[in-house]
Amino acid sequence: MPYTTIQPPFALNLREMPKAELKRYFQWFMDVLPQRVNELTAAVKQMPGFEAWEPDYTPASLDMLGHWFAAQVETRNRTQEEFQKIQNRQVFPMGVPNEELTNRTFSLAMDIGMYLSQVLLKTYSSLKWEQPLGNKRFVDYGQPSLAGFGRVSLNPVGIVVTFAYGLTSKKRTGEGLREIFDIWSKMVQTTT
Amino acid sequence: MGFLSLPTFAYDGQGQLHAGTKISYDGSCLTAIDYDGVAVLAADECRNHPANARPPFAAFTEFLAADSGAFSAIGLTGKVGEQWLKENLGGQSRVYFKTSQGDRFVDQLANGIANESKVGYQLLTPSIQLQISKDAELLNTRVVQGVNWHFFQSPVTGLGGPSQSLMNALQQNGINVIIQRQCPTPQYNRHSR
Repeated sequence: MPYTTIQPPFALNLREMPKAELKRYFQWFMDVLPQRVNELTAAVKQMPGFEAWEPDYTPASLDMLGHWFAAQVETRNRTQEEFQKIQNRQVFPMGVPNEELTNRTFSLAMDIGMYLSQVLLKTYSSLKWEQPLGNKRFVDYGQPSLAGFGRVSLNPVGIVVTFAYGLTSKKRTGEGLREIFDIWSKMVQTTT
Repeated sequence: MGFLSLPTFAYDGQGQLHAGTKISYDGSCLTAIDYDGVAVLAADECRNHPANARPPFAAFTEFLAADSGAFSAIGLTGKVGEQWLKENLGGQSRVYFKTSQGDRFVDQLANGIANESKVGYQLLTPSIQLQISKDAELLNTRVVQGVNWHFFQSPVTGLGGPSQSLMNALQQNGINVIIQRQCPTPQYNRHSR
């Protein structure tokens, strides 16, 4: 069965969305999460060598998933329209990066971000979902995030998208997904 | 011969300026400085020169420019650097991250890379040290996949680039230093306040 990219029923222009709509987006995110983990699981198992992968929500499951994702990340050339739009804005001539993540890669990053959130939540009971709606300039404004790391919060989808960019630029390898979990585990603040 | 009443700097012979030392001032619009003959370099010329050959009185020159009526212009040039990043890199402008050390406003976030604009010659001040520390935290927690600091030549003073100590601090924290050859053109009247 071919992988179906996620289809949010919103434009996802979060800073322009009314708060009521943002709250509906948050609810949609939670509702669709189990289905997206199933979609991800099917996609992983289709790849030779990864048939044994199980979404058991253990930190160890992130090891194989990270390697699988590293093999899946792909970029596309910017369209002429996108390219021209950037060039037209330029005051000085400068090389425009010609590549962007594909929609499928963005979708996989979203699915893996959802799965990563579940691994964290099942490992650390002190973590909770939140949706930052205070300041539109906050980088994770309106995006489902995990609280419980002290002053900072974790946007699981955002960090996996960043990880995807790191994979394309060769700054990261498949181990990076588990590394994200390990780094943020050290920041978990347990309530007493 | 009097003393400048403004904050003053001393050159340590290694490209660094230290606050607190008086610089002799003859009361005219000219300032007498015991200049050691090191060439003053524009930002794009700094690329192939050791940092200790960079303008030793850069910060002082900035300050003189501020005192001579270009203060608002210097403020504007900082904005021009941010505008340059926005127009050339795309992505989100002026978003902030939370860090354990306080909020960190990023001039331009594009493809997971945080981009910072610095116009004019820059020293390793406490506030810049804090910015570096926050950026290092963003890198280490994988919230961003890279941090690039772009240094532009100031169109007001003609100076730009990081001091050696700032360069060292950036590199030690995994931050990329990009010396932009292009000088952003501010939209202002130099003589207007």
